[in-house]
Amino acid sequence: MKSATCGILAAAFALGPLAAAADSPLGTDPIRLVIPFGPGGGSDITARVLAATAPEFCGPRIDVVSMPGAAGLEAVNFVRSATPNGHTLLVTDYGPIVTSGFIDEVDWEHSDWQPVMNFTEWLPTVYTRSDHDIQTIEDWVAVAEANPESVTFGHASPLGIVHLPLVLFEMETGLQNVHVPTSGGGETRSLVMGGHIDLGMTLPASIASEVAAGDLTALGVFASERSPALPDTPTFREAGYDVVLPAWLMIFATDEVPSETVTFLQDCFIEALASPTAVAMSDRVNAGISPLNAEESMELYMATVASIGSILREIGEIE
Amino acid sequence: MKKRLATILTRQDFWVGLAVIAVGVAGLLHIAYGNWRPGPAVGPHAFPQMAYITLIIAGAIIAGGVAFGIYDTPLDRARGIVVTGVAVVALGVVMFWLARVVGVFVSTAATLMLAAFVLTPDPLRRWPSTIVLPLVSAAVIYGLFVTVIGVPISGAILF
Amino acid sequence: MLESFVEALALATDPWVILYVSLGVFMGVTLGAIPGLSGDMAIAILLPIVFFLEPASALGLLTGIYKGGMFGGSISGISFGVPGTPGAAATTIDGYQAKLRGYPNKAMHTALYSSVIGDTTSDLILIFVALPLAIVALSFGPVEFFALYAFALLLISALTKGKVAKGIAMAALGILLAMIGRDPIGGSLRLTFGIPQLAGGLALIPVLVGIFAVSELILQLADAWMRKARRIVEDTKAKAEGLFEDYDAKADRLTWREFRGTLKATWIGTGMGTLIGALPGAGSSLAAFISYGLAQQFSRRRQDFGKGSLEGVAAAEAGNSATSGSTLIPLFAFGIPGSATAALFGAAFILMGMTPGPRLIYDHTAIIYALFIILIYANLVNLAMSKVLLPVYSKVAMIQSRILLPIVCVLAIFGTFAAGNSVVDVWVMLAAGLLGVVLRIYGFPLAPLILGFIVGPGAERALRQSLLIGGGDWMHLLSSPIAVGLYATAAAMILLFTVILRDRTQPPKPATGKEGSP
Repeated sequence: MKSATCGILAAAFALGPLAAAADSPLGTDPIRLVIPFGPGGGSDITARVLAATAPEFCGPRIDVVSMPGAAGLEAVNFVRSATPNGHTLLVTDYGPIVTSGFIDEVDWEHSDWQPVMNFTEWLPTVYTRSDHDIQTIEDWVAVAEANPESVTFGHASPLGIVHLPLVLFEMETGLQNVHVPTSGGGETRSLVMGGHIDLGMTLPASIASEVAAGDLTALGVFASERSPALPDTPTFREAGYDVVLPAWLMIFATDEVPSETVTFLQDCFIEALASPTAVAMSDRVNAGISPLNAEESMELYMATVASIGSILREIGEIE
Repeated sequence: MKKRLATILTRQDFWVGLAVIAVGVAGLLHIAYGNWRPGPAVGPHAFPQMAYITLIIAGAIIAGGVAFGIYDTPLDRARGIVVTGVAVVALGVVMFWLARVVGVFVSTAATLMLAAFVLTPDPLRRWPSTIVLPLVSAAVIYGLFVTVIGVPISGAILF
Repeated sequence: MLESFVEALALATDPWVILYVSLGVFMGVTLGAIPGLSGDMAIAILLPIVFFLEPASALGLLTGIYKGGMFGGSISGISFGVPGTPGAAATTIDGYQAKLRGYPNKAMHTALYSSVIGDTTSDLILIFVALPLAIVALSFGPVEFFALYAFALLLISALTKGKVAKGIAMAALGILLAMIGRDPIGGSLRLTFGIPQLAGGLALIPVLVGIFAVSELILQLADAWMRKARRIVEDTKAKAEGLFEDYDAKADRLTWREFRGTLKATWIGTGMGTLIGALPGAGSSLAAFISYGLAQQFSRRRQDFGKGSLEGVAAAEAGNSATSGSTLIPLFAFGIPGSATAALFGAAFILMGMTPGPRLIYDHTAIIYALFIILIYANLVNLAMSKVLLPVYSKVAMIQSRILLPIVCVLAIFGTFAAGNSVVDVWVMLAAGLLGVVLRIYGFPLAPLILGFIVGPGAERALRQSLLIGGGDWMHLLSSPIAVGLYATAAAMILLFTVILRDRTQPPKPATGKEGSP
């Protein structure tokens, strides 16, 4: 009975691309892309684009493994303790690696990690209902200046990628808002749309269609340039507030992985993502993939470590 | 009166109630003297505090109920169950740990065979269910979890 | 409109699509029956196939898995007292008692029929009244959610089999277990006692499988072992293969009368399930528990609850399954994933190049209509397939415990591991199993613990969000008519059931609880 299930399941899997380049330096063992989040989110979807297209270029099969345990730290530790042969990689935004490296008790340093490549930069976006009084960055600043702590602002977990930009913005401007942590982007959305809170923060892809339809208004993005998904939404920099804190999605290996392996992975990943299939897939899922190589990613990573570190020091989370 | 008090002391539920109260009190002390950071709104300690107070009240009702003849009769096979529980959990820990060392199939087959031998009277005569079935089950489990689902158990020396 | 319907019909009734739906149902029922594994996990694993299958086939497969998994969890719940999925926890309370009393088949068929009724109704509501219900769902903010969670906690008494004080203690313990980890509002660690692996808190599946399943398995293993020790060998009445115990299948058929008797409970479950399913974040296990509690309060035979009541099975299973259609309502109406499953379906849509939200149905009319048609007929496939599978699985469940129990134990361990790919989860599950054993020995009911564990974090988040939004004013909790209505209903129910109906349900009952064993 059960073995029949296996057979059928296996058959379903056989539909996936199993063609492997015979002479890959990585052999035939599968590559695991470990994500520190539950399945179904933006990281998962983006990683799956790579998993679906890269085997042709890299050799072995690629599995996306979701490990949300211990607020993502379990995934980080799993990759950390795996054999450093390039078969176990971490795909994460800066939360579980940069922020956790500062505030959690971990037995690794930020310098123990080396980026393989960067998928994309997500631009944290402030949004509200289209029938709300606040419709622009200026409206928000005016209301918050007139009545401090009157604007309620929803965001996913504290100190995460859609909370720290708000903290940074308040540090720069001295404004005060009521921070309302939620269980995630979905809850923030329903609280904003139900009129329970005033503003929320999310990533552009998840609100782009509602903004286009006129149900939601995107106030501004915390980035140096506008988001391709929200071309009409200004950046905070345009409005005169130099607050830029994009969230990247990077692939990491531990620093014990030999550099030729990392280079090989970087090359075949970037080649795979440039293939027509991958570009079509990326467009279809709105992933906005524009890869950075290992060196550029390292720069971005170190810059983020520095800026997150200074924010956390400023608000007294770390010394 | 004295006799009644003595019977109360022999009732298991009286002590169960006291244990529940003890957990609640320990928790409240932990909140009072432990390292709890303040937080927005009622703070991170409010809900645990409420739960501890509820525990104390519930414990008092359980213990107090004994005086009014409200109590559960203890299980007569409690000791056997606890022994089994510890054995099962220990075996589970060993099996799962072994799965990462020698592999899912070997560790599962060994565990199932051990269990079958322990639980089956005259196990060798019933070899189809004590030797063959564990091997088949272990193969199915290996196929389902390792081949199909691809659980991240890696580094095993066998399979 | 009609044109796209015809097109959708053609898409949905393609033989390949029907095949994929059937395959999905089969996989869902089977995987759902394994403790730890659930339809959600199978969907997550199979998500990449969306890249390679036709959209209708892919959605058919995922829908089939989802629906099959919803029901599959109750099979192991009824057979071994080991809920296969979180949603089946409430079904297990009476389902397993029914099995112990010799009518597992009745219980399973009750579960199947109520599951299909609840699911179908919920799907129809998704299709025809999604928008109004979605607006109701949006009006649920922190204030309303806190009232709902408080209301849910009131139903503890329904889960305690007369041991109210012990039940309340368990609910408090469940809340405390759920508080372990990072404070969701402030972000500081609490109750982790210096163990960094606990920073993320305890996940539902290991706690549920441990508390309910592992402890039950340990109890049964202890019996099996004692049977051997006392040499009460089954030799005398061993059948040919020596695998099956005595079981009279003919006496264990669900009659039309019995089925009709469960209908009220099924409708209560269907209503509550559909409503709670539509609320983002509430979840199917909560729906099942609330349905069970309410059905008990309104039942004419409330004394049977907890003792193998088919009504209890029907209410819980209908409540569980009725979330399956409505949980997609916020996704279709606003693009908000209201549950883990809805998030996975949302991801599937995105992988197909369709953005979840109100535009979905206009931009991709044919495929969404096809999905609606699949949602409906997948229930019939589920019914038919499960009718075929149930006798097989019942027979499996009747395999001698000395052989079956170790296998279920091993499946529970690997299933829990696979659910979160977490080693810590396995240790948590085993520890929770021991805790469950200790609690059972001292006569504590376990269902309130799970209820507390499910409700606690939501209630805390809702309360603290409300206070943040209301500027620290407690009166803000009464600022919503829905919340006030829920509190009033709760108060009325307490009054009604403790004062007025007390006489009816208090036949001369010995003061000393005879139920020492769980």
